[in-house]
Amino acid sequence: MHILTARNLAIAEDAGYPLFVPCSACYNRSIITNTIMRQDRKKREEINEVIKPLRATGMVQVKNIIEVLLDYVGIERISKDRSYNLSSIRVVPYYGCVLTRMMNIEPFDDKEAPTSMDALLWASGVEPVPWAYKMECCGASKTLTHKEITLQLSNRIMDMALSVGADAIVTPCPLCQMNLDLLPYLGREKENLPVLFLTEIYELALSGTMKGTRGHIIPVDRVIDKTRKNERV
Amino acid sequence: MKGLEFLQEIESVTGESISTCFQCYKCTVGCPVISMMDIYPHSIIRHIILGNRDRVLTSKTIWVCLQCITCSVRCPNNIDIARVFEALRKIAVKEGKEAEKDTWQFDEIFMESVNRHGRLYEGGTIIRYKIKRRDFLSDFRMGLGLFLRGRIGVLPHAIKGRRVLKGLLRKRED
Repeated sequence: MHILTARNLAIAEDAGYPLFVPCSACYNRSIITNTIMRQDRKKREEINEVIKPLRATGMVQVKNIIEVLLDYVGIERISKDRSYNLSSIRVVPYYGCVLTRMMNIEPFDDKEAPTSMDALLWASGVEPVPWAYKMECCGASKTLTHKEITLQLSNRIMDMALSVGADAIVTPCPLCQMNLDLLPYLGREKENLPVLFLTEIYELALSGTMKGTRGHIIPVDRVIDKTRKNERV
Repeated sequence: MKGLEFLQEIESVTGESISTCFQCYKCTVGCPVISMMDIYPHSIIRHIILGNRDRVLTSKTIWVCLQCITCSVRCPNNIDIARVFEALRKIAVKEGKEAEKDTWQFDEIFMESVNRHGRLYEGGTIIRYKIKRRDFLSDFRMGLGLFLRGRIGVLPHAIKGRRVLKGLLRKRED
């Protein structure tokens, strides 16, 4: 069960760097395996026997995009370095379901009401709007097998974001971004908000544009239009 | 009254103390896909305790589950309900009692792709799944849209040391 993740952890350990995992679900699995490798000697030996000659001890640091920005860049530097004013953009922080939900493991942020990305968003200049669906599930991998489930769940999230008057949804999870961005194809006929990956907000704050606009299914013009050059600088 | 065999079987497979459940409904109340389930999550747990084996294994509920683990995290008795469902899926497939085949087929094709390339080859996985379902038109527009925007690649990206990985996964199955 833990073999694929253990292999990744072993390679990262060998390289001597912390492991950055962009996807929330992959991050969740990696953290769980890492903890087991560290705490459960019997399982550690079992797993290491399978992934031989690689070896994992569970001592590697596993980080998600929020932690990377908080720990290695820092809120202070983010708020100092921005050269564009994003203060008229209202966003809803959407953490996705499994980023901090873990059994028997203390996550990096609160299990039910995380706030770490809110802080990062404040620092970038946008206005994070409080809302109820911070951690609601988007439909995960049911997009292909049961379209109607993903449509129902993602629809609800989009409706809630619209009802609190946001301009965009910001998420640290690539799968959530994908599912919400797919809404026009899944059969939603109502208005859609652009769905941005967290790093795109920083791109906007630093350069005023977004290189990945072509990759978005829901157009992101509405966010770019609200970006102003910082007059202070 | 049925015996405790089923409860003991599930408890030993998952390592969860299912019998500690006191039916507080927290799992059911928090579930985002409750409207599509035929048996509610707390009832599944109760059915396990009562030994209603077929009722549980043939239910749609275990396949509707998204594994978002809201139920597991909220459980006051620390039962990992999502994991119990996962174990039930495996048993249901093994005994040919699954209520639907789509999810399992997709999972198999997904793992096959990982086995072959070392990571997921999205395009290939989707096409294989579609061939298996004999359904090509329903998501064609979505696939084309994703492809034109560069979200799905044409060719797989294989990892270094694929052979070693294949060996690992084979070892795991034995």
